[in-house]
Amino acid sequence: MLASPNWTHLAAELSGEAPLDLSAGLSLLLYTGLVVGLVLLLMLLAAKLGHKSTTPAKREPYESGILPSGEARVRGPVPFYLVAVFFIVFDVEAVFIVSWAVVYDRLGWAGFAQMAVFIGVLFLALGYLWKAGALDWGPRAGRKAGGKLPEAGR
Amino acid sequence: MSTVIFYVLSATALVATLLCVTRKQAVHAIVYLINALFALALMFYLLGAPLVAAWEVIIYAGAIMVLFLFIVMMFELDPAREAQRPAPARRWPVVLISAVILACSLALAFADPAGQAGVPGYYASPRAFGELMFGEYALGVEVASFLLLFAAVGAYTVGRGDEPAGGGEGRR
Amino acid sequence: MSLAELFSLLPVLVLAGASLLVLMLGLWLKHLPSLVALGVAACAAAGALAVLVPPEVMEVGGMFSAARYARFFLVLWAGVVAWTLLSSVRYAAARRFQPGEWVSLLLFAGAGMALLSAATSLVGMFLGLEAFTLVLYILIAFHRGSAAGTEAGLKYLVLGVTATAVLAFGVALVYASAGTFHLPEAMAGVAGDSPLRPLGLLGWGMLLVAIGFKVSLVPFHLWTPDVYQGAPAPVAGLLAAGSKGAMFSAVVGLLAGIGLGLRDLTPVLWALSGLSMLLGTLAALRQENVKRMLAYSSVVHMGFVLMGLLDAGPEGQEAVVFYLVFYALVSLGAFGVLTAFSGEEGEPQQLAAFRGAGYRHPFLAAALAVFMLALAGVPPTGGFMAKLGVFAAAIRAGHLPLALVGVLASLVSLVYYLKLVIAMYMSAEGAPPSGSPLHRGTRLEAACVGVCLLGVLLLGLAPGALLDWIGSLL
Repeated sequence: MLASPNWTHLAAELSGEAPLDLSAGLSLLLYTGLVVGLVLLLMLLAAKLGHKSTTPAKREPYESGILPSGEARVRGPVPFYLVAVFFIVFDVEAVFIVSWAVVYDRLGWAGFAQMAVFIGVLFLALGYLWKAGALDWGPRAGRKAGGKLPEAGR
Repeated sequence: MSTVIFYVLSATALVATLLCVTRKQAVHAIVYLINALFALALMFYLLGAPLVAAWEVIIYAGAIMVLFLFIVMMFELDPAREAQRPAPARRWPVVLISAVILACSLALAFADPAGQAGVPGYYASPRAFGELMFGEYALGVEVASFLLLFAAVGAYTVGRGDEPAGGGEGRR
Repeated sequence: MSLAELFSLLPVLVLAGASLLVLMLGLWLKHLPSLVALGVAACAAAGALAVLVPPEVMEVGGMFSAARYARFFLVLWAGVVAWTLLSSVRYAAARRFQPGEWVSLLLFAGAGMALLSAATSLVGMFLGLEAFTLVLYILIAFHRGSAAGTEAGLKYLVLGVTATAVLAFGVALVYASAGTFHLPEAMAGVAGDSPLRPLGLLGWGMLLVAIGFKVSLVPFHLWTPDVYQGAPAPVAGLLAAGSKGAMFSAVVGLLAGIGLGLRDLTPVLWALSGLSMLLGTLAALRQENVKRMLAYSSVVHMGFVLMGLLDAGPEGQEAVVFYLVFYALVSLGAFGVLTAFSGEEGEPQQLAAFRGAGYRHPFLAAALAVFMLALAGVPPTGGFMAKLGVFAAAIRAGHLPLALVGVLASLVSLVYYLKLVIAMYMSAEGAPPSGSPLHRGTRLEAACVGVCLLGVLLLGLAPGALLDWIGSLL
C-alpha cells in the first residue's frame, strides 16, 4: 500500500536528509490511530454486545472430553526458596559494595583492604554453598546429598 | 511542594500498609506492601537519604518481596480461592495507590530534574555515607559480612532437602 | 582501623577465624571428634590470648572494649562454648549433626557473645547480639529429624526478629536523643535537662523490650518454655548460660552510664523483675517436663539478676556478674546431665523418666540434684551466695519489698526443684515407665558435668576469690 514509500520518506526526514514533511507524518499518525481505534472498537463491541455465560463447566480446562483430575499447580520445591534466600544474602552484599564503590577514591587502600576482607568472607560463603551442594539442581543434587557421587552416573 | 508530596506519600504509605495487613489473599497483601515500600523509598529520598531510598527498592521491594512471593507460592494452595478473580471493586485501591506514587515521583522528576528540591540541610550524600561506614563503622561492616555468611549457611543447614543418610537418589 | 586495634581484638578474631576454618574444613573432613578438638583448641587459644596478651588499645573502633571486663567475659564464653562442644560429642554424633556446621556455629556463637559483652556502643551491642542470635536460630532447629526442634526454631525466629526490629528502633531513638551511639554518652538523652528526653526515654523503653525478650523477662517470656523444650539439650544449655548472660553483661555496661536516668527506669525494671519472679515461679510449679521447668526457672532467675541491677553502684554490678557466672555454670551443668542422659534419639524430659535415676546413675543424678539445690539457693552451693548478693543489692537500693518477693520466690522454688530430686531418689521401685532408659553417659560427659559441679560448689564455699576478681574488673 502506501506504507512503504511513506516509511522511506519519513526515515529520510528524520535523519535530516530531506526537509521535514509534516503531511506525510500526519497521515501515518492518522492511519495508526484509525487502525488501533478500529481494533479497540471491535473488541469493545464484541465484549459489550456479545452473549457471555460463564458456568463452572466452561471454565474447566479442555482435556479432550476427559474431566481434569487434580491440580496442574505443584508446590514449589525447597530449592527455589533456598535460592531466594541466597539471592537476598548476596543482594545485601551488593549494598555494602555500592556504599564502598561511591567513595573508593577517598577511602584509599584501607577501604580496599576492608572491602577485600568483606568480599573474601562472602566468597567463602559462596564456596561453602557450592561445595556443600546448595547450588545443585535436579538429580545431581539428590546424588550429592547422598554423600558419594557414583562415577558411572556422570 | 516537597512538603506536600511528603505528606501525600506518608498518607499513601499508611493506607497501603493498612490494606496490606487486612488482606486475606497473601498475594494482594504483597502488592500493597510493595506499594508502601515504594512510598517509603520516595520519602527517604525527600528526607535527604537517596542511598537509603535506593536500598529500600533494591532490598525490600526487590529481594525480600521475591522471597515473600516464593513463600506464598509454597503455601498458597487453596484451589477454591485461587479460582476467583478479584472483583473490579477490589482492584481500584491498588490502582489508585500506585497512581499516586507514580504521580509523586513524576512530579518530583519534572519539577526538579537536577534532584535538588528534596535536599534539606541534613542531606546525606552517598559519598559521605560510604565514608562514615568504612571509616567509623568499619568493624561493623566486617561483622556484617560474617552475619551474611552464617545467614547463608543457616538457610542451607535448616532448609536443605535431603537427610544425608537418606540414600542416593532420594527426591525432595 | 589500625593494626593495634585489630591486635586488641585478637581473641575474638581467633574465635571467628576458627569458626570459618572449621566450616570450610567440615566440607571435606566429616569426623566430628577432630573438629571438636579443633574448636576446643580455638577456644583455649582465644582464652589464653585474652588472659596473657594485654591489649594495646582499650577500645576497638569505638564499638568494642578490650578492657578487663570484656576479656573476663570472653574467657567465660569461650569456656562455655568449649564445654558445650565437649559435652555434646556423643549427642551430636548420635543425631548425625553436620560436624563442620555444628562446631563452626557454636564457635561463632562464642564470638558473638564475647562481642556483646564487650560492646561500648549501641551499634556494637546490636551487632554482637545479632551475631549470636542468628546462630542460635540455626542451632535450635539444627536437629532436622525433630519436629519440635524446627517448631522451636521457628518460634524463636519470629519472636526474635520482632525483638530485633524493636531494638533497632530503640537504638535509633536513643541516637536521635543523644547524637551518638557510644556508651555511656548515648545515655545523655535521658538526663533530666536534655531537650529530647521523651525521645530518649521512648528509645530506652524499646531497648528494654528487646532486652526483656532476649533474657525472657515476664511479659516477653512466652517463647522460653517451647524453645527450651524443642531445642537440643546442649543448645538449650548454651541459650540459658550464654545468651542470657551475655545480654545481661552488656546491660550492666548500659546501665553503668545512665546515672540519674535510672530513676525514671526504676519503676519499669522493678515491675519486670517482680513479675518475672512471681509468674515464673507460679508457672514452674505446674511443669511436669524438666526442660520446661528449667525454662520457667530461668525466667525467675533473670528476675533475680534484674533485681541486682537496680543498684547501679559497683557492689550491685559485682553481685550481678557473680550471679551470671554462677548461673552459667549451673545451667550448663543441668543441661549437661540431660545431654548425658539422652540416648540415641529423644531426651528424657518428663519427670517420670527420672524415676529411680539416683540408684542407677549415682554420679549424674547426684550432680543434677546438687544443681537443683543450687538453683533453689540452698546454702552450701553457689546459688546461696549469688542470691544473697542480689538481695543485698536490692535492699541497698531501697527496694525491700522486691527483695522479699525474691525470697518468697526462692522458697517456693524449692518445691519444683525438689520434685525432680524426689523423682530421682524416692521412687526407686520399678524401671522408668515408658520410653528408652536413661543413657549412662560417657566419661567425657561425666567429666564435663564434674567441672560444673565443682564450680558450683566452689562458688558456694569460697566465693571470695571470684568476688575479688570481679571487683577488680569493674
